Amino acid sequence: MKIRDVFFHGIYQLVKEGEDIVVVSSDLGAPSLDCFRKDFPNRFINVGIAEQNLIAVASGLQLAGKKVVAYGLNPFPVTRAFDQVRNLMASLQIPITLTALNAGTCSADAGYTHMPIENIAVLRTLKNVQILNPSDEITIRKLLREIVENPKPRYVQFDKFIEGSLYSESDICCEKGFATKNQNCKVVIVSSGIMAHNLMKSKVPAKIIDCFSLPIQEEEFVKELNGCKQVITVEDGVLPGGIGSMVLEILSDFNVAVPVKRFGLRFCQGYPERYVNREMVFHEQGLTIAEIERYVHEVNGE
Amino acid sequence: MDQLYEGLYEKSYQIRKRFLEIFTELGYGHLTTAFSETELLIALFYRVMDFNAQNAGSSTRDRLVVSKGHGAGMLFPIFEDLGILSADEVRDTIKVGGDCSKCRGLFYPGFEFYGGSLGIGLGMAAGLALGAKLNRESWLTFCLLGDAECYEGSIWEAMLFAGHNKLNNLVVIVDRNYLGCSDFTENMCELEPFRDKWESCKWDTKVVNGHSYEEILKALEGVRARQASKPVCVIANTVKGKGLSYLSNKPLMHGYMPKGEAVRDAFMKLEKI
Repeated sequence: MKIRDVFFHGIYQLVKEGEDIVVVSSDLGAPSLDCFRKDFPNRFINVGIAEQNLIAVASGLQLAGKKVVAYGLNPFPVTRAFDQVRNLMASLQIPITLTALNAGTCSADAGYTHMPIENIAVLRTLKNVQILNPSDEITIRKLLREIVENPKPRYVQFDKFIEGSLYSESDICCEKGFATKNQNCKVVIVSSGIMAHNLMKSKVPAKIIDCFSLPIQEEEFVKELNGCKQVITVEDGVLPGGIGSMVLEILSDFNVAVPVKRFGLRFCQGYPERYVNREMVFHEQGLTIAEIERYVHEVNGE
Repeated sequence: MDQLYEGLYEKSYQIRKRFLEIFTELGYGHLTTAFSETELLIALFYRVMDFNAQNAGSSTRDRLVVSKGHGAGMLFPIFEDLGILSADEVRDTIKVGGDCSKCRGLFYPGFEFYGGSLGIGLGMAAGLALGAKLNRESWLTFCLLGDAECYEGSIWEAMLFAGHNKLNNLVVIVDRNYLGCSDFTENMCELEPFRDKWESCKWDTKVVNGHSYEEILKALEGVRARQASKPVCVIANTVKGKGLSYLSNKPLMHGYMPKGEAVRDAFMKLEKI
């Protein structure tokens, strides 16, 4: 099942069990929301295509005592409504869960307007907002429990091409923020979302760190780099402010001297001026597993 | 004049005077907008809202969202008068490096206390009102908007939403002083016919003189027992800078605060309305 649907099936179940959750949508549905809308019509609130109001209304409902999931089409809940996110979620810390469909280039075929490729970078500038870019459904299941047991301002983006499980429940610690595979490799790849998903399923001979929740616990992260000879960061997003930037900041703050190679969206030739899809963007930006694997072999002198 | 109203007008004078004391000592603030809304806030806190200063955090209290955040300074002399904050606490709250957590805990959205991001409050107020309905609770949500704040697109998003959802437990008061920061609203980008715009979004409307307690209280009388299925918007015609005629109704006075010799002058010229 796709991660968005895992999420909304989980919300349905929680409401069924008695949780006082409402879903506020900016004109976005989902097959997995159909049952919710039918069985709990008063708990599904549609504000129309109005992302600023989405977050303001969600915040008001939370202040009235509800647990609130806001749901909109990315990148607009972040880019159009950044002032609301900044003031209500970051500054006032109103503990709503802002969910958004689309991550990185997953809807590249809808054009640049529908690519939330800057979202992680801009949200990283805010304190108090947990940023989740899940790479599998177990992370979503863990998140559902967190929403009930540990309310705080959260942003979750759903990549529509991610489905299935990579992890067991014990691999996922939301406070730590990352999960790891291939402990003994000297090359470490840091990633999240779809790129982490693809890397975790690949045979690339590197340790993979999936930063599914930001900010990560930095001390724990630095420990993971013990004995590492090369860090590679891979992200389906722009490089300034993203996962690669985060790694460089941590290495600098902790005085760790290790070479870093960043893979991400550089758009050296400008934004695409043709009709593209994700596959084409990945190919043109060197974001394929084959390209990353080739680089790892090069580092290993193979 | 009726004794009831006489007492309120005297309160207006004292509250404006105390505002001047607090904010001229501080050296910054938004005087003209605070003087424009003085009667509106006093009417809400002393006559209209279900609000007990001794139990200000009560879950059954009416909620107030001061969306025009730059006008939030006027809450401080009122809070002081109501005994929510002492004079020392007011000073400590608004000074550089002060602690505003007590206010933030009481009146969401708290952002009004550090600058105010305009246009956000009405959506929050609509969310609060909808939450009360879903919870089957009877408290009301009041929202104070600035007229020039209504240029923000998010205000119109929320107007549509509240009208469509029949939020008859939501009361908006627009401080219609016809002034933004740099110019008169009708010179910048006409808001009129303002009342018609609210009504077209399925709101009940009333227009009052926003410095007349007689008119404000009459408009809000019975607001708790309304049978209507619409939210209500009271357009309160006001004068920005009311009480200090030499500052009144002038563009570019938005961030003005008397300093030096001008402070004494302001106290001397402060008028009863």
